[in-house]
Amino acid sequence: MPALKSSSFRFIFLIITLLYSVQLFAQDNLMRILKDELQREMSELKKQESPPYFISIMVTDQKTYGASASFGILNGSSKVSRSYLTVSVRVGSYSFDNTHELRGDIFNPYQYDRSAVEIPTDFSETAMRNAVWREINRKYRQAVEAYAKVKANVAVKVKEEDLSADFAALNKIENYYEKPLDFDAIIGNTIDWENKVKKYSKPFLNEKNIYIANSTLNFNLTRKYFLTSEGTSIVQNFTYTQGFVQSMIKSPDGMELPLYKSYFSFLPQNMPDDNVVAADVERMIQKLRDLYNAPVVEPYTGPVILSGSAAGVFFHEIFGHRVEGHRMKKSDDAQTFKKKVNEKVLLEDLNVVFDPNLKIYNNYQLNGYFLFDDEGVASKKVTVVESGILKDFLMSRAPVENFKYSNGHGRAMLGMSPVARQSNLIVEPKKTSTADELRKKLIDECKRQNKEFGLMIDEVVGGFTTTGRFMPNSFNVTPTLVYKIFVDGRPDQIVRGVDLVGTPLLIFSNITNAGNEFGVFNGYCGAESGSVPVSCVSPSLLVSQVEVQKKVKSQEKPPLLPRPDLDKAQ
Amino acid sequence: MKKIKSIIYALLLFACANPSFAQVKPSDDVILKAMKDELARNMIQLRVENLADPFFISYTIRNGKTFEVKAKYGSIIMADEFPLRSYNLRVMVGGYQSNDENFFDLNSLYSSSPGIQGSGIPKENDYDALRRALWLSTDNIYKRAAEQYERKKAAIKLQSVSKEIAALPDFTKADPVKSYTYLQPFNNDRNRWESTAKEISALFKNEPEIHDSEVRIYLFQADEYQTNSEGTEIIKPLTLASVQINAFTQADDGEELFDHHLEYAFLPDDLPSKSELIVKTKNLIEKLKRLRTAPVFDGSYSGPVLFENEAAAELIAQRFFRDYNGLLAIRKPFVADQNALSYVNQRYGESLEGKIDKRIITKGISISALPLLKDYNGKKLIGFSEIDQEGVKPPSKVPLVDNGILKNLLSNRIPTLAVANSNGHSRPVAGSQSSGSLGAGVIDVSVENGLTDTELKKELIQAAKDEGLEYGIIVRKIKSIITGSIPGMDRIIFMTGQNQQKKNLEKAVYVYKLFVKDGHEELIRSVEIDDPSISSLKHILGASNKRMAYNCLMPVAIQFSPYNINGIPSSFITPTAILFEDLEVRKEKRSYTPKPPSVNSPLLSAK
Repeated sequence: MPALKSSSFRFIFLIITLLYSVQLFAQDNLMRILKDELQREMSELKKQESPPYFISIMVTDQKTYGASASFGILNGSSKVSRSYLTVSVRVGSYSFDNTHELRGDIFNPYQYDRSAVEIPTDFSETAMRNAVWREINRKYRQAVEAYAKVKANVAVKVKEEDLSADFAALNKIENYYEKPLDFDAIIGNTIDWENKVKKYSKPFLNEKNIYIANSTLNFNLTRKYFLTSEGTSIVQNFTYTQGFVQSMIKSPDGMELPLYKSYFSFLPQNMPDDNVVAADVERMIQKLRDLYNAPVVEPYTGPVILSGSAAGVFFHEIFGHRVEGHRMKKSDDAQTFKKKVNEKVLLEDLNVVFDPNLKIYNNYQLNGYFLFDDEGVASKKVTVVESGILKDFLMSRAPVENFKYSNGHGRAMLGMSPVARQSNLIVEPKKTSTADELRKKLIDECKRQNKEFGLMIDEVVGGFTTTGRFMPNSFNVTPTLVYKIFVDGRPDQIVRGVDLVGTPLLIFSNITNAGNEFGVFNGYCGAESGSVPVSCVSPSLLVSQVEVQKKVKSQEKPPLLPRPDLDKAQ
Repeated sequence: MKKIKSIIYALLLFACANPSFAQVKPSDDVILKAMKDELARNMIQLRVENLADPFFISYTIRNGKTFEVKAKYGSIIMADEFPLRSYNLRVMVGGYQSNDENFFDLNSLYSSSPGIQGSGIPKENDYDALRRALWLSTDNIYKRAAEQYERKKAAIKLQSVSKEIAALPDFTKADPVKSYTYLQPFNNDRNRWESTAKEISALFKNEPEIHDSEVRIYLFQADEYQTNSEGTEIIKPLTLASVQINAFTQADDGEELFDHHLEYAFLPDDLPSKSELIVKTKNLIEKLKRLRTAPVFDGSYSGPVLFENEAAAELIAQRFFRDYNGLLAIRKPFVADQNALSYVNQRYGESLEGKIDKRIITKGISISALPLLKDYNGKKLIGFSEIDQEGVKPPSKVPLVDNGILKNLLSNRIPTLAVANSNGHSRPVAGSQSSGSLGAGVIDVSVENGLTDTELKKELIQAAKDEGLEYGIIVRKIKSIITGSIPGMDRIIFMTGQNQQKKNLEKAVYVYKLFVKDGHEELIRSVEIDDPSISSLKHILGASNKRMAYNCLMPVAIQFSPYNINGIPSSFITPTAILFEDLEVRKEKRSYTPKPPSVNSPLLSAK
């Protein structure tokens, strides 16, 4: 994947791209120290020419444990604890402040100032106070500088299209406290974890052309302490357990064919049993063998069935990123949906909701669950599309025209500034078809379009999209498992080497039917506020026309020598 | 010089508990056996039709553990003990005279990871798994080397190359070495080092004038395995123990000031005791506080400058043993085209090799490398190394500068026009990287007719008088190149680009005016000292008759970030003072000076 620095580049993947680690128990003292230092800074800085009107402090206490193995051999197993401080300072007023868009600036350094200051894990008073003092000072200076710049920017540029405020007032000041969790007790015996990852990755040794076979198990406990000069005070825990099996075969023409299987639950005890994973691994090995011999698909345009999880990613990319509210105000964003509120944007059979309060859907635990967002706002269920009509946007505390308040979707990775981001995306169809019906419809559609076959996208690893104006507004979904479904009734054929591509608006109008099989994709979404956990739940979908293009392909030959333990020539 | 081609595989992220230090016979050592067998198989079988065959393969594996503690204001920020296993491969195609290395094109920049790389090196001693990791990496590097060699040959055909350059071999032969010494593992003693870090860092608690500080203790121990296709087999221990104490503050006018106290040793027991460290830290605090309120140096000065103590050692280290303008025989790669040229010019500096057999420093001063010297006056020298990272045993003495005349440069197995052979200075880098880098080991600077401290001061005053100056300049501390993180500084250095100019000398921390009329001293700040040119080096008025040994980390050649532990352990034995007749000193030019904080330190109210 190209490492685009563009602010309009976003993606979703199974794997978190930047791994941050963690730490510890609440010191009741901490909130008192933070509050005290926050008040001292607010009152002292009042004497300045441009005083801050808002300061927030977040302490993130992260603890992680991870075990990983490759082909049955342990690669590692370790616990890491870290604590970080992140501060936000606003100068000006709610209606106009230092975060105002700096139009015409290609690179706005403030937006990317990712700062998570390492702090002692015991939150001792002197160190905490000093760290808060240093970081507020730094952020305050930045804010004053930025405020002067945006004032000048507004004076020289044309009048803005969207005159809404820079920071939304709150309807409610939240106070919330959760008790700390016992990390070591949750983890239990790490030997068990090590044995699992070894067991999961060992069977891949049986296939000589599989070059990568890794399995990992991670548990992450994050405790966030958040308070603001407005009085918000929130202490909440987040737990994530992830299992991951990754393998890759390389076809004789050099194409790298990876498959992934991921598992998610909040707590380790809810992870699948070993025999479930073992069966998945066996299936994966068989699929890799099939892929090894599979033909390459030529570029194709025609009808496609997306499995539930593939459809989820597809929606996340083509739709989800375009209803993130703050984009409607950015002058360089394509603002696909800004003027389409109350207009039909999708098939009338579909509702699209984002529900961060939902923990479990059809026995699947959902990665995008949270009670309060990273701006201290209680998360709310947002019905973005009702019966095909666009109704709402995902909102952080950055208002846009006609959407003044946050609905609790201001999210950020550690150390970054929150913007509106997705949570649990759920596509709800009113009418569904069975798998057989959907298949029949695909074949009918193929006949109508005079195609020999349609495609079935079974598994995907992720995708990405651009929502800017400079680069064409497009998306890409990266399948790992694709089948041809033939019109003439031949058995389905596994194929390789394609990505789904397209432009969003065209695609929306091509969604014709929803199936009754739902899939869940738990993953990590990357955008300007970093990587955040999200999920996508969707029925399988029939899309009457999708374009597939050839995948970027490794030009490297497979290894020249046989695997050492299988080399008879020695 | 770092190989563009050979990749460094370091997997620190997850590592298993209790690494097994292989206390076995070399003949039973699974790691060594896997390396040898896979290397032999690849040398015989690894071929691609129509492309050059591999003629040299080397594998290096580091197997050990690290322990790192960071503390602030009496509290632990992190205390991590990780097993470490990393590996590094070098595969060359062609031959000694002409091969794929010493070549730079834009592919060298972007082709960091094509093909299958597997998932690092297994942390268990499993013969098959170790071989699988080496197999995939060798395959990958060989393919790139073979391709690069073709590109290099094509590029050479298009350019006119001087006879000397064309005749210069790409790599020199070395005799096979067999040497097996296992590490004597030491206990990381978590409690001891955590409490030491806490106690030292707590000294800053009542010091509101110091804005930030950090104490970092880092212990590293590993067995390093080296094998190559020439028949070399080496097992050797690598260890490093360090304490880095960094402090940061701002003067009232905003100038950012910092100081550090750095200690390096082979073993934790060779580090200073806690009570000694406490004394040194208190001393650091007092000095930095004085610096905060010291007057700003205004105006410019051209005249005698005396470097004392660690400033004298750092002066030698930074002026002669960085990867530019100095005594490292760095081969500039052959450049494919003009696009690649600018990258090469940014990355590679010139050495002094054009001055061989010419005077580069005052008569009476000699500089030698003494790589086999273990200690000096009881102080352990961390630059000591019996065999280098390319399997070369260095001689006990390499004369570099003899009585002021340049004779030789430190070299590895990549020859340059002036230095044909390796003198064993492919040095290990401490920490996770298992690669080598051309750099200093143990360096000895000796002077004839050394002077006493009193005589040197008199000389300084006299020289200042002769120039009609009111005062002379004494430099007592220069920032060491690798310091660990200086809290609060990193971002600022990147923002202002202070770090980008290729200057040899780092910022001078403690500089004094010595007044001619009554001999009193005055501490000053905002001082910038010019790099001593060859003509200044030829005018050294004198040096102390006392000598000191100084350990530090030197940057890996062509390295970008100095704020980590990845440095080359080096030792410098130098006179305790060196007096230059004429150096330029001026007020520091800063492109950015942040204001001091608007709100008082919270430590003030606590006090």
